[in-house]
Amino acid sequence: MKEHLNNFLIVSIAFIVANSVTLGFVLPLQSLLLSGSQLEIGLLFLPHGVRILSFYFFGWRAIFYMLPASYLFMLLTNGIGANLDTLSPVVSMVACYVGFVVGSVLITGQKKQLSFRIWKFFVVVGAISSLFNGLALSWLQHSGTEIISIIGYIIGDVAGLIACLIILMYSFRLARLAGSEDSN
Amino acid sequence: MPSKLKQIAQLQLILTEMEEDLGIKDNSTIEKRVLLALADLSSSDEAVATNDIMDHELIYGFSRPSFYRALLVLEEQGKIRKAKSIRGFYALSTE
Repeated sequence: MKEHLNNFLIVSIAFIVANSVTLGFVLPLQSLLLSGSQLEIGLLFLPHGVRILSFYFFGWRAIFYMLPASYLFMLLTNGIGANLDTLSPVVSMVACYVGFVVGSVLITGQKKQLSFRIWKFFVVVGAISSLFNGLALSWLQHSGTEIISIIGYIIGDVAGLIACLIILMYSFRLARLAGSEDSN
Repeated sequence: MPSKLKQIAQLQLILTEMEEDLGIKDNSTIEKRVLLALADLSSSDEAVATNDIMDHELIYGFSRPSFYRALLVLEEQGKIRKAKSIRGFYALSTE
């Protein structure tokens, strides 16, 4: 139980930070630069990176770890003028997880995982997961599959995932360099 | 707790691979020191004995295993090369 609570806290903090940056910085910048874009679709959606890493490390339990923070940000996003459906956090999480599992099975089935570096595996699986997410959210938000919005979700999610990995890479790199400076 | 540490280690491993693929992985401090010591000791294309590199003041305080591991990494990266047919001599790579 304590382990689940720890995981929940870690995932929630990461998800809240990623969402805050997206909501407080990326979306305002996006609406400033691309006035015609929809607020419901972030073109650099950092939480997708947190989602994929959480699915990788915690499996299906990650859905429950992320749901409360996901609902919190649905309310906040709607507060600034978006119109997200009440079910969108659940639908999005489940669709992403199903996409993650399907992507993992597809890659593992083709035995390509040996030639795949894991971070590249994340990007491919993240894109498949995002396709499922896009299809589900598009169906929920627009009662049908809108190609433009699905492409928007995929671009935003994959770009967010890559940005998330780069941010983590530089964080670890900084920590390592700071550590080696201290030891000299 | 060990599983949490294992997850952090896994994550760090994944990101280190990413650094390698993006070509921005730094050499460690000992690797940089070995390279500098070799550069300091070698004149033109001259080979330097491993013992001389190990005795260089830049290498002071590092363990022998770390030193030999650094030599291996630098050789794999093509930054240094074995200089003679007999073991224990290195030179800066000319590439």
